[in-house]
Amino acid sequence: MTGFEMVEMEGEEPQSERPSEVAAVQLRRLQCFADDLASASTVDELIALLFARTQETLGTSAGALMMARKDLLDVVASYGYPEEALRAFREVPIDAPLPACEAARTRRPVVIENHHDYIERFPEAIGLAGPAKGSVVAFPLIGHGELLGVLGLRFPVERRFGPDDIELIAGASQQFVFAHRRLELLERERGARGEAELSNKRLSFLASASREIASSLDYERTLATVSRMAVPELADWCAVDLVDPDGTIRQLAVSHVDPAKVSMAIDLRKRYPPDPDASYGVPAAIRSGRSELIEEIPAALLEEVGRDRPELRDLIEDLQLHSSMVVPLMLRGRAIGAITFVMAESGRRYTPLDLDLAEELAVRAATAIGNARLYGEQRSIADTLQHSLLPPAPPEIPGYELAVAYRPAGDGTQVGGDFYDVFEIDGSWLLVVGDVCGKGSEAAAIMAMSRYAIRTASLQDTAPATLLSTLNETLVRQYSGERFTTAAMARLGRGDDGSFSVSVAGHPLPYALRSDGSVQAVGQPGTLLGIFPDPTLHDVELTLDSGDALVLYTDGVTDARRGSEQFGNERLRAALAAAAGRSPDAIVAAVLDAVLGFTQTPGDDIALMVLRAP
Amino acid sequence: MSEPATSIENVDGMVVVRASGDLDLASAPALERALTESLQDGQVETLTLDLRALSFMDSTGLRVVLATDARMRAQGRELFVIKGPPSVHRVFELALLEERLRFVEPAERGGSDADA
Repeated sequence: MTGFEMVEMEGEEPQSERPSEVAAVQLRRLQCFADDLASASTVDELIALLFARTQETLGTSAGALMMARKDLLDVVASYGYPEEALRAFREVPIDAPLPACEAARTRRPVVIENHHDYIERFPEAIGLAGPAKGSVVAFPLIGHGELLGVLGLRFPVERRFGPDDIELIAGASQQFVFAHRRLELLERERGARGEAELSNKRLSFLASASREIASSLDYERTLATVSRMAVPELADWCAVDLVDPDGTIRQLAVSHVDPAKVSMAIDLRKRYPPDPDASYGVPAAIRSGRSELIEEIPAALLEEVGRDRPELRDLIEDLQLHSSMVVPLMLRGRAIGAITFVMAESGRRYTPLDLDLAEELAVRAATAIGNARLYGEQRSIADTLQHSLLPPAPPEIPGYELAVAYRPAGDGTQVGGDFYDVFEIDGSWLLVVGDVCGKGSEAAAIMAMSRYAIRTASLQDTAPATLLSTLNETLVRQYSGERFTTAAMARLGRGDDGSFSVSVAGHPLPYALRSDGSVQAVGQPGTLLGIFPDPTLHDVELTLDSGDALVLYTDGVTDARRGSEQFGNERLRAALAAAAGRSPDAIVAAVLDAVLGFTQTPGDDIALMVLRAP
Repeated sequence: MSEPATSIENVDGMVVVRASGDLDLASAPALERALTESLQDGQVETLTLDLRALSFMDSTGLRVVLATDARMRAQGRELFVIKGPPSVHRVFELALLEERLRFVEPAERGGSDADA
């Protein structure tokens, strides 16, 4: 680049001016030059300004900025040179026989005023540099005693360079070096700030991902959300894989900003499931329980993936995979899945710092999955237990229609305290709805015991008040008066006349819903069970005519609250009246609709039983 | 739902525990603690539970009252209850507890003006 040829001599410089004036003009020019260079905010801008000002103030026709790199000079920017010259001198060994190289080696300006000089001093350069005319100057750029590079300038005509000219170029070069150094520091600082911002971004991602993970027990949905959140800030691609109970690796989620690419990835995955014995990627991370960071994905690895599958190789090539991380999701020492982060078209690279973040995220996600699974287990245990405590399906009572609803409160992880039973003994039918105070395993035990105590006692006597009294004895004996139970019981007599006996112990009174829509409370309040050895219990007779219904329920219905307001008996009566004459199923549905329409969170278990006379 | 609150007053050996707001699964433990605390003083022979400021009570609340009553009886002490509003008292009525617990008028125990 710095081989220049010159022809003709046309030196027409400010020789007519007096030295002091010349100095003043130079100084002013230099001042402008310095001010200009100082205004640059990036190195690129600085170089552009340097070239523009050298053109304007010095009348150069071409210029090149070469930066020193070990024993080389790299042309980092230039103007005015022919294409072929640029191609030939993109990178020049510092010992090349060229003006710029000499300036670099000697750290002194090389000034060539005319062609003759040039041939004399750089005879070997002529062939290298190609034809050129005018003068050439190569100026070393030195900062803090270090060679930064060389500024090469070419003038369209041959001219002389007085000390002032050299001074001016030296001043400009020095200004450039200062500005360059300042900008470099600034950019490094910006980089550091960018790094800090990136680090903030990472932390905030971790925080919001953790919040997301903790917010829900539906961990599959949550993990999918986390994978979406990682894109595009922390990854061009993010995928979550889980190990199914049978050991297969299932891709739960894959995210990319472009939905088309996501469907392509899903399709790719379907057609080419990962080799479970692969020495890299998700299978390896799951097998070994170790994270994998590939800062720069080697071409060999991509080739290995695409070996024998050319169409896959092409797809992979299109994806421009650059850098990746795979972190296993470890639960109690076992990998239950993995999260994969990939940098592709953005060209970014992962560092060990990124891996730290990914591993931290994986730990949090795995913990959440553990909790959710545990919760799921607990819930299914509660479900199973509850079902074992309640009749599987209401039995058929000849001629009658029966419907039962049972709705445990809360999240379903605890066995509720409500119970019901319907059974036949000696041609009579007994219906009972009860409520054990409290929840959980102890309440479940009392529920189970209550049901069987009633059934056993019914072998002796079927009068509801007697049965409840027997239950009371058992409860007081077993639970020493610390746990109470309430219940409402009805016995349908053997005759076909629809006559019932009803007894209520500390429980809301049942309702008789007549076919004409009238609603009557049935029975007489009796002592709750399990506390006192001598409860007061009554049997009250009731007759249901055709189409009439008996409604037994727990206080979960009437105590359902919205703010400080209770659903209450009036709303229940109204809901029943509106459903008069309809099937038991319809009546049950009407009541549940009314309660859930009143409040989404009734707060307590709800049990409801409706029997309709033929 | 109004905020549950419990206050304890001890005037000349007469302890009055006042419950207000909702007495349910969420607030029952606080009332239970207050009652237990009041009973730690062995000198206390009677305790009055004032339910007039309650707006709601469910079976969880009932259990606290019954458990306290049972414990005090076993220790030869006595629990008095000042009736709450109808919706609260209905819970006692349904459980047929009016004859099992010592319901008293405000003037009898704990002063005529509970809000003083």
